Amino acid sequence: MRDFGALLQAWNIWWYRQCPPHALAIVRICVGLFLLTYAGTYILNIPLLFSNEGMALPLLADVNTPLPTWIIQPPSVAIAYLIACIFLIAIILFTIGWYYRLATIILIILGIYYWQLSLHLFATSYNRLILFALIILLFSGADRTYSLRMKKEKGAWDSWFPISILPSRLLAVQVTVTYLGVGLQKYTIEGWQGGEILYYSMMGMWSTSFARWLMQSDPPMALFDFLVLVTILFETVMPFGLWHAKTRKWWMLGGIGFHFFIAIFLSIWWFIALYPLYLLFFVPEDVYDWVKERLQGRQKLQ
Amino acid sequence: MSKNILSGLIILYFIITTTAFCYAMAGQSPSPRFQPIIFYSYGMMAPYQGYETFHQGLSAEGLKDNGTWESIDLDPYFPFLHGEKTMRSYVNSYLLKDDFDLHHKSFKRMARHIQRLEKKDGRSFEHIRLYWDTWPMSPDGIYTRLKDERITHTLMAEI
Repeated sequence: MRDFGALLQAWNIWWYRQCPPHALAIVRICVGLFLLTYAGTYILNIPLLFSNEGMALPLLADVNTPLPTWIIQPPSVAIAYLIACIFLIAIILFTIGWYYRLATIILIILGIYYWQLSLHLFATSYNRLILFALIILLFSGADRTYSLRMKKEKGAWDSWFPISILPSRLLAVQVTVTYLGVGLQKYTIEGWQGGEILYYSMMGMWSTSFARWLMQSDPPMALFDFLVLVTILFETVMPFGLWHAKTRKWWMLGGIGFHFFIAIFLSIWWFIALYPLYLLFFVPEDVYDWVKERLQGRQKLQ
Repeated sequence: MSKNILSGLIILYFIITTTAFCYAMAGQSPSPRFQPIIFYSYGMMAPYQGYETFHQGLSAEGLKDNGTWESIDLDPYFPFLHGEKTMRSYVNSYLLKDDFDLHHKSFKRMARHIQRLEKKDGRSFEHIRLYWDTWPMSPDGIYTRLKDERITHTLMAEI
């Protein structure tokens, strides 16, 4: 019984203890900036992508569904612009932490709306991860520091209230599962048993100028065999490395470099959205101390 | 929310994630009732599945009043990086659900959009044909070998 009690206590501490909100607030700001950048790639083409005068192919357009037509079918150009404005305002409010919950709910609803209207044509892991992260962040209290809310309520941006560690844990676990799942599957997927997947991808639809430059030098297949092996090993070990306090920073740097090179050579840049989530593997109190030290140092300099 | 409910939700999250993981590793399909949420969870851990040894992409032509077929530039309709353009123009969403009828309908819908937008820009076409092309790869660029060495030219829709 004593063992069970200790186990229950450990479970409660790991999932439910109160902690400083700084790591999650930084994640909120970074995810907001990522969403602004992501939205920026579509914003010049709103009539084309999201209105009834463009190329929208709604997911449920030809499907029997109880949903009303005005949700399924693309709206007029004016309404499409209005919705996009609401979406952008919600991202800004989310990022600065003002009416945070309302902004997050709007982002989730409009995220699903845009998925139905257009993003389903580009169904990717990061779109799902972002939506999952928004749902978790909705209940997180990530606006309890470095937010306009704190500035208005407490008079300072860096005032803070403790929050539950649960949202941080869930997001960190999901990042772990994502890397581990992707890595382990590659041991069995036929296409990942040699370097060919990377060789042809470097010339394929995702290739960049850097990739073409590399391929024009006619590198040996052994190089790609090696890179595929390193990729699979890295993705399998990294999720454990991120939980390991002593080597965490190195695995973080590895992850940053990994996604950076994918962006440079294969133009798949969206996974940089994972960068801020690495912060959630640190002990929240350590992140708070680190930030406090930096801010105090800056104040002394001033 | 009480800790018991939260613990229940955490355990539910782990059940969904583990089932998705089993689906990923062993291909064991979950019960249809739970498929949407399991597939969503799987989608968060889905790797790049495979590769092609050729390029592929959408092309279009329109029938003019004088009876000639003219090639249509699709770049303005897909203002994305090449990979996203290819993915979007193949309308993969329905193929993932093995719904070939909806896949075909979506190409027809796309052809109608192109016809309307071309007309708006002063290019009127009586009919539109959409093709899915494949062509050999080259380290010199994606479109280098498209013009002279096209491998396949498959009609996807005609309106």
